[in-house]
Amino acid sequence: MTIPSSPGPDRLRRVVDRIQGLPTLPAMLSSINRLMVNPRTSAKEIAQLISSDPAITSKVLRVVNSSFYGFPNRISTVTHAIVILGFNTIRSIVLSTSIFDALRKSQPAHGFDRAAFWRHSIGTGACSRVLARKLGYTALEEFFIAGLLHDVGKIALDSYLPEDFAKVVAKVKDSDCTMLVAEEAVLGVNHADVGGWLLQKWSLSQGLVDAVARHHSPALAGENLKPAAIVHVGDMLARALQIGSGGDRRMPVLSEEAWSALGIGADSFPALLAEGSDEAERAMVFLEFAR
Amino acid sequence: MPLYPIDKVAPGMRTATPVVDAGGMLLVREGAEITAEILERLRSRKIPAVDILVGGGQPPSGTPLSVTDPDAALAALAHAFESVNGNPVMKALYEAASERIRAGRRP
Repeated sequence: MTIPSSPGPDRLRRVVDRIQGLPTLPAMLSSINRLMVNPRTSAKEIAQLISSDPAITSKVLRVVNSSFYGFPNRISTVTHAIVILGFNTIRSIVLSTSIFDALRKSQPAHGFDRAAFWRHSIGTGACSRVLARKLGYTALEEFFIAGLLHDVGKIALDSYLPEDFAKVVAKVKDSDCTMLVAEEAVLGVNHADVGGWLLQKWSLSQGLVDAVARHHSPALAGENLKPAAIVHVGDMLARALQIGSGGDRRMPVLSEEAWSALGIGADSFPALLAEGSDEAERAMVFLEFAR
Repeated sequence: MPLYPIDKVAPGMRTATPVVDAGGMLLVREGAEITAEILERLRSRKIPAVDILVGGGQPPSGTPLSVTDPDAALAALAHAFESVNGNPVMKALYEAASERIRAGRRP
């Protein structure tokens, strides 16, 4: 089995040094993080902070009232949303909508279908969430976000190194290989490396960075092997369900280490696909934010 | 993405957004090519208008179609798994996904 190795700091540096003018995430996220580490912070304080930005408030309320969460009664205030869903979930919603917002502004290069890309990303988020639930994790939103952002490096490459990325897209088309293989051949690094670098630059958690950076090589994720393995298999499930497209037509190679780390049997696939499909359909509310 | 009244939608056009009925049921996936059969289904479900992808029929090169036809979906799946089916876990995933398509359960 061929597992992509770490590109080493030099090769990655040579590529990312050419990425200029990356968007920043709203300052609100670091303020939320600051408040959340204080055990005395109340729901009202976080709600006040979020409510100070009407655009983010409206997005949070749209997501919490969508079928993704499926509450029977309408949630009309951020405070109410925090009480029902908890700090972590609300922070995850703010984070994901902010990242969509930051990246939607960048211009796509010719040949890469962003709409299909985001559908695949949301599908992978949903399938990762389903897997995490099956494995008994409680912080399910973290896994949704890790899946949602697993291919974010492709957007960075598409937006900021369009000529190189066009060569990658052309190679995928000509050779019918995976994006991963084409990126390694053209750039010497892959979208997972670049995605991990981007999330690190945005000061996101190491767990999230590793899950994204190692979603094609979970065995290299160290203590975050299991989260990376969940996203690795979540990606496979979304591809098997044909939800959108990450830009290629071939399945990547399964990491045996990842599969063993999850400790589930292949007889779980019918149920996982059924749950992943339902969850992905509900999660498509996030697609509005990518437009 | 222009919204086309249903009487202006024609086979060969491609949907820009998923088409759902009044009950929220998905009728056509985003990026799907409108066929005569799909058009008939939309009319019978009284869908008034459809978001159509500007630039018309073909998707950007190098990216797969959203496959709505079960035979095409099965073919795309077989192609995707061709080089990894030697692995028993991937083979099981392929078989489970194929079975969903054959049973008409699609995302």
